[in-house]
Amino acid sequence: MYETEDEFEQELRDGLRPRQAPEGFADRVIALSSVGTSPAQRDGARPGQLSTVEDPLPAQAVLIRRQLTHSGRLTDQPLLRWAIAATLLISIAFGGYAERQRQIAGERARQQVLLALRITGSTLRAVHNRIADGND
Amino acid sequence: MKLRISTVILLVLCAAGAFAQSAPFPVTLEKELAARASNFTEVTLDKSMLSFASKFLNGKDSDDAKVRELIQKLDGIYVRSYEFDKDNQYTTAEVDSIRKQFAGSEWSPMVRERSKKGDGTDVFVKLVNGDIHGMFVLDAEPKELTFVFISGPIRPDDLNQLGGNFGIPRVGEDHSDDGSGKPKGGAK
Repeated sequence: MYETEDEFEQELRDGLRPRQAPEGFADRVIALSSVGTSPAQRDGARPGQLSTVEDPLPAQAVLIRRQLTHSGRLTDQPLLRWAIAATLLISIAFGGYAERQRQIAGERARQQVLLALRITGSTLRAVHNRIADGND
Repeated sequence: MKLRISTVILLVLCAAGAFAQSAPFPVTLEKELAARASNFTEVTLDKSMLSFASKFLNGKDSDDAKVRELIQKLDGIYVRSYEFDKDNQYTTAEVDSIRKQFAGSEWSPMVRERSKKGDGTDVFVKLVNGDIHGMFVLDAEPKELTFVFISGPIRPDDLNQLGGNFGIPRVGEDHSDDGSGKPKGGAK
């Protein structure tokens, strides 16, 4: 890769040489670090400084917020996007299945009512006929 | 101590109220009769089941609407129908034990019919302020035994109005079919 050791040393020196930061870099770093902290932290602590104030959000929410900070939107995460789509599909499928089962149970109940009324009607008719026959 | 007694009284009253509200099907020989029957039909519809079924009766259809109107008032419909291959598959004592369950003051015998063969028919009604709030029909034939228990406000006219629809026969009309109106083949 390098012809001589000198070439390598030269490149290393160039790489480690202090350089001027791009314009606005410090402001951007300060702005980014303040997004991930609570108001108390923002007021009391400097960027990069460790704080003893506990984050008021649960760990999961902090994780999601970090993802938001990095990616802008939740749906920018491909895995998350798939998870949301899968959850929606499963919910819709389950909802449809549950409704279908309810319809089947309802129709069965309706048929049971009609069957009960049929037997009731025929029993009462048999009773009526028997009494009528007895009177004749 | 007074508090305990009043709590016990309250619990007993609540239990009695709950019992009165959802009268259970009184026949106790179901399993024995089903075991002996060649074909049997059991329909159990309590208030919640009737309410659920009423949601699936189309209110715009006049026949469905009539059924819905009828069942919405009821607390329960219980039907037991047993068909036997041979005679004497149930005893008179068994049928009498069922009749005795309606011998209390709440129920009044409306029809009592006995034949020489031993079969007979009973209709008991529960009257509340002159209105029928329950009906029990027992139809005992040599090869068939049917119980119908309807709990709640019902008028025989309501049932008769449904006659001619959904295969429900009209009471008082002697049709030329087998007269049973009951499903054949297959036990429930």
